[in-house]
Amino acid sequence: MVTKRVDVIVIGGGHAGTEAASAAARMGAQTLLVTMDLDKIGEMSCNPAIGGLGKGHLVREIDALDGIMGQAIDKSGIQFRMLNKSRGPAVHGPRAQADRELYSKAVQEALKAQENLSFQEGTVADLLVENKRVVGITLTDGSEILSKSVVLTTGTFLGGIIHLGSERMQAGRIGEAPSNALAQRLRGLGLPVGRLKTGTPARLDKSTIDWASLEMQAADEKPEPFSYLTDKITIPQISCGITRTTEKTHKIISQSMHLSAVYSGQIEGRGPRYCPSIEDKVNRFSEKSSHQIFLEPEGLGLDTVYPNGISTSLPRDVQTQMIATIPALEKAKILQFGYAIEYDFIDPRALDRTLQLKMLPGLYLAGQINGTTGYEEAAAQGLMAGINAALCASATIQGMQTGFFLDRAEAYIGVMIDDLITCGASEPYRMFTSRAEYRLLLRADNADQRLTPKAIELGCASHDRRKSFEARKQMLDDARDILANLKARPSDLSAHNLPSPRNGNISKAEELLSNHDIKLSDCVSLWPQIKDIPTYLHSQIETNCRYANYVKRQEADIEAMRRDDALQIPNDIDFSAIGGLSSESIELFNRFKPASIGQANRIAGLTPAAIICVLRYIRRNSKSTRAQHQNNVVAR
Amino acid sequence: MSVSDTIFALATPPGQSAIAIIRISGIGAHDVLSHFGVTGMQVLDKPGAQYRRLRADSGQIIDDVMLVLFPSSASPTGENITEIQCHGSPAVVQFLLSELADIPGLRPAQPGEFSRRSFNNGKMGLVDLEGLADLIDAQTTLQHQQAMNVMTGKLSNQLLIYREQLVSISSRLETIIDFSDEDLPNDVLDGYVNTIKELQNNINLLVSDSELSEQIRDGVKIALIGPVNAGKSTILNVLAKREVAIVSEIEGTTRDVIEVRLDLGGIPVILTDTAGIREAEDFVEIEGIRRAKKVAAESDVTILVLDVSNPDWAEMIGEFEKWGSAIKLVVLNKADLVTDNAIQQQINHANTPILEHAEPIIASFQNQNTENSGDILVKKLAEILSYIPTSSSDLRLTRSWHKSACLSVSAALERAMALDIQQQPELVAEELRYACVSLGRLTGTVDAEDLLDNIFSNFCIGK
Repeated sequence: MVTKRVDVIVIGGGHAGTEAASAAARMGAQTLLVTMDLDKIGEMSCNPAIGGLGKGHLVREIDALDGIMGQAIDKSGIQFRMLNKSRGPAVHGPRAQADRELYSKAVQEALKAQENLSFQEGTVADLLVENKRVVGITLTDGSEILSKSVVLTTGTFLGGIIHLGSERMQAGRIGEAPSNALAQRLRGLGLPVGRLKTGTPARLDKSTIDWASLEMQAADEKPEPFSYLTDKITIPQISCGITRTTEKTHKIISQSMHLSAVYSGQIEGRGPRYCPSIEDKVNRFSEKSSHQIFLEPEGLGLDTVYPNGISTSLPRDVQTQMIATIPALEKAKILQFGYAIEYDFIDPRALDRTLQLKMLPGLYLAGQINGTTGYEEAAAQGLMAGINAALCASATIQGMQTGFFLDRAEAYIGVMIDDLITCGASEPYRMFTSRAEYRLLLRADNADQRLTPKAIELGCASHDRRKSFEARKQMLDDARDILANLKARPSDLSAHNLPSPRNGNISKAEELLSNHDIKLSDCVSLWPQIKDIPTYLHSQIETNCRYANYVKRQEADIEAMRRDDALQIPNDIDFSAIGGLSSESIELFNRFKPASIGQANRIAGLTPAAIICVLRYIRRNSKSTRAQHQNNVVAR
Repeated sequence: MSVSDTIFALATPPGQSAIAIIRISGIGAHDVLSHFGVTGMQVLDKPGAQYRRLRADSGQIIDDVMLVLFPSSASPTGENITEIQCHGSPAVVQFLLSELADIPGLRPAQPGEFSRRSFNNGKMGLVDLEGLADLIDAQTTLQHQQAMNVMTGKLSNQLLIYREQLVSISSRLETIIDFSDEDLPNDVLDGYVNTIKELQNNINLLVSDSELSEQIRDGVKIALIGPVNAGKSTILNVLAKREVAIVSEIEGTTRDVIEVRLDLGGIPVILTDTAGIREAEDFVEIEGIRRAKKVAAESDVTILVLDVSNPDWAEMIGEFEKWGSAIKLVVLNKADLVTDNAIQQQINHANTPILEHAEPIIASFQNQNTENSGDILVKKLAEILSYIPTSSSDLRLTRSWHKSACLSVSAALERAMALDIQQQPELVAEELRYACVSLGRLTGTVDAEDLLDNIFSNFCIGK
């Protein structure tokens, strides 16, 4: 029975689902967010923290596209820290621990305030497919909701199984039912489904930890907000405790290794290497006698503490014994045991650049279902899927819409999606700055310059966002004009204690600032005009100058990449029919099915010679098809 | 390496031929000619050929050539093209290629790069013309095969080792950038500059070895030096088994440099006879001596020939040592004119490093036992030559783009070492990324996964 018609349905209320719903609604699509439990919207299932290296960049980009994550963490962050602060700005990593209650509250408030967005509690049983397109969903109560597009963000719920020692529970999160009917349906559609796993540590009772004995790590003195719209962080900042595992801990773990769900062979899915369980750490790095643990309070008024560093799937009694061997945790009470969770994901190579399933148009996937891990990765995909689902819904002719995507030189979001759809996910995918070849260009400090104009053009930026961005941009342009006219002779530079070039040439201000030791404020006595540049823009301007030469050097590479990305490889190409390709190359082409020459370039093992063979084949084939067509016309 | 570079390559097969064609494509392809003293070339709206003389910077004539200039609108790559059709002498071709490589903005083309540019500029239509398409197919298949042949065996193994080293250095650096909040050991970056330096040295060595082997392909250069009338020309004649130099009893007959190409035990050799050295006053002879020094300095092996019947022979050695050439072999000629004892005494008294390190050949090239002396010398030379890497067995970067990729790895490593890793690790990482990209052209792409694999297998990362 059809109960509703909307433009876009978003399934799931996690970090991907909430961004997707918000983005689709901001784009003007009538959007419905369907989730099993409305109260759990914006829940932090694992570590209560946002950002970090690479991930912090993603949050800034989400914010620049007017997503909700940046403002939500600014309203709930209880320990802000800028990682890599002593290093160059390109690798600064904003991170904040959240009060998990405040965080989900901030997300829920943002969604409730959003126009065009409504909510429905329920479990999805099936997808409605018509003419090979997804046209809606069926809930377990039998009701049908029709839509022009659907965004699926199942997190760990799709066929979720929790492992705790030898215990196995069907669950999406601890105490929550999984989504099995939908998992069955997706497998039935012939989608490339695989299994991944992740894990979480036990949660501890704050009042039972011996805090006085611990080394503490404080927040930054001046917390730097994630969002361009946040002026100042007003939440009180707390410290975390640091402790370490001991040899006793390791002994208990080693003796019980066979009882761990991960090691007993009970789990088939692959886990992330950068987020290993404590069993993994002890097993793989046996020479290390101790591992660090951060004790992170989960909120200002909450009793739970997240012991970051000891994720585990050992049996309950072993977890109890193990934790008691850790300094300051001898008497710690476990509020919830750690566990591992296995879930279905869909090989993201089945997606196009807009995160739409190639074989089932109208269906968009985002978050852990695409093989990623992390709130930020999920949110970024959700945002992109939401925008594209709205574009799809607004298309006058179905299938004729233009998609929105970012390339590897525009955003970390672009790097992530390109990595996923090109190479798939052999383990849960997490963002690192080292994945971005244009890292010096894709900085946390210039995310707005890179992306907000696109959001404005798309129509997913709010009025406030637009005004704030335009004001800032005007200031930056003015500053650039001021700087462009500043020059000095070597003697003037020396007179103001600034380094002068040996060749005796006149220096421009931009050249001088490319030296990382020189700040704008050092040049005020030489060039009083600098006083007209607001101080909050100084670091951005200094950073631009500092990397200018490197960025310029990359421009030709970027141009080449864009041209190659624009060279599409037809979906139906038969690689084995191409002359001159080695069998290894054919195998790689068939396995990865690159959609463009650009993607082919990024597949390890494909040689330039092989790629040129394909290029030539495509070109010649398209010509002969055209020639044939022309012949037909003549014949008629 | 950039797509906006002007690229060049030898378009005809390497080796001796009547005509060789060097093709230059890119924005600077026409301007390049000014480096060879050619000006006033007209670019028409279709390809046009002109006969011109190319000169080196020094004014020296390189060759008289046919120049064909294609405007971008009518060129197979869609870019400006200059074709230099020169005489097919390996020396001329090699000289032109190395001059081109020294011009800023120019670099050797990678395999298939001309085709690639054609495609990018929408010029593949030309390729579709009957015949031409097959021609280019054949050419790239050949290029591919050649590249594959070169990349098998020792060289590619060695490059893969360098790739591993580069991945290891890069991943250490990325570890401290991407996992700075992790519980890392303090020594992650210890000695990283030395490691980079070592890698750079190895890569530089590979490049210089390949320069040596390039010479070997053309012929090992052996120079005969020594005082006047010591018998250098006779030795040349004996080795060449024909009269090439004027051999007479009058001192100082060989006033210029004489060159013979020989095959010594399967190794191509260019044997050069030089003017004899004495206190010269004659201008022609001074010039001859200057040239002799130059030849000696540029050769791979030098044979110092001395006349033991001249009582001062041992003292002369000191003079030749100053020439700076690596003297590999000393021939004590005209031994039949003095007693063995006398020679031995002088060797003992000479006190020169040359005689201490290498046993001299005592011979008489002007008499009946010439054959015998010749055999001894050939045997000794063959032994020396066997120490030099030859084309079939050793590491070499035979294609100029291999060399240019290695040079760009080395340059990036140089820039990386000049930066402060504590304050600017992201810039060091950027240079290392460039090094990875350049090396990747020879060994296959180095991507983030390579670095991450290395990081996760070496460090306990993750909370």
